Amino acid sequence: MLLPLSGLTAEQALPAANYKLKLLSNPVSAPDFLLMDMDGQQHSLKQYRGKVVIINFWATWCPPCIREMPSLQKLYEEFKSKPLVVLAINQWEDEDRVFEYMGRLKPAPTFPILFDSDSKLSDLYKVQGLPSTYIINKQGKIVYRAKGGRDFDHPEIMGKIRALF
Amino acid sequence: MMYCHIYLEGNSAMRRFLFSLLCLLSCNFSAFADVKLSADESSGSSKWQVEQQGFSLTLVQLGAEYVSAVFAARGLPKDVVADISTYCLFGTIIKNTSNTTLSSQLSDWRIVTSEGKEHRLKLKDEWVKQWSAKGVAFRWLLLSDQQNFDDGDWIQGFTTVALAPGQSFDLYYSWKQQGKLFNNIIRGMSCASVTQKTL
Repeated sequence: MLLPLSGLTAEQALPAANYKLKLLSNPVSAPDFLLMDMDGQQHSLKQYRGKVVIINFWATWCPPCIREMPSLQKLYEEFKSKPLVVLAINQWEDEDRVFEYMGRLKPAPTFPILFDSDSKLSDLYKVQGLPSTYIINKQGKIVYRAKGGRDFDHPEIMGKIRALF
Repeated sequence: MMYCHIYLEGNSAMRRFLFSLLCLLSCNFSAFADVKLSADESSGSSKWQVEQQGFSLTLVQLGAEYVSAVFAARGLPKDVVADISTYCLFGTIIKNTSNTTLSSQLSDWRIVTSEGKEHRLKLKDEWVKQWSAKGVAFRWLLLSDQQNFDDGDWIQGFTTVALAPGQSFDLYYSWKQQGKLFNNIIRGMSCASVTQKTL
């Protein structure tokens, strides 16, 4: 179930998506994790050292999460030949619910969807609200973060990602 | 935080007087920002929107039926769902539209009903603690008390206050930008009514 704000639809109530990312002046090491994806495969952050990693905390009930997801997929497709990993980390939901939603998104995400069912990882990353996104450089440091929905396929964000390769 | 300390320490009437006075004296344009009120014809939900000094605030009435459905859909126990559904909830969006950082603290916000009674919001931490005591680890949907916003950041979530359906009130809210505290009032707000169609 999406979360329209009462009778007003989510799209009417939400601010326009933007392309601003917070550059961390003192990048910090991204906490490692071990989470399962929809196919039962485990993913750790450590295994992606040497690649740029985008971690997106989201849930199906969160309208801006759903809105920005296709733009993450477009970014992912744009840099398919580059050392980029996108991990969408779902909060508090089960695979059946999430699987149902994936098919409704255009384009549907092909990057891994991981499950942080007890929200312990989001606590570790100090996530205060959904969606929240962290961009981790090849050295495993968080270099950018965004609170709230973004247009990830915007040229400005694409340029920032490209500069990290 | 100087103004908030004064605001918190006086009695109710004095606090409101001081708040209004300080808004006039110290908040630049904040006391005069336009509040846009709109309503959804099908649901009857009202939406208040205000933006000033790079702080954008949107509040949308949420009816009990809708609140109940949203929390039940997260698989929460019936008593948890029933409890929060008795509160007055708003879908709340805060956005930083400035080029600098800003912050907000919901514990500083106050609600004054038309009868002059003052209330504070019931904060997310209070709900989470209450749910945790029941063995429920859920901590989403509600807006966090303290938020820092970088350029372009925004957040949405529910805010809650223990008021009856249809109760009208004024909202006294504040935020900080570059070390300076700003205050404003949205007058004539109201909780969703009992009969309000919500979904």
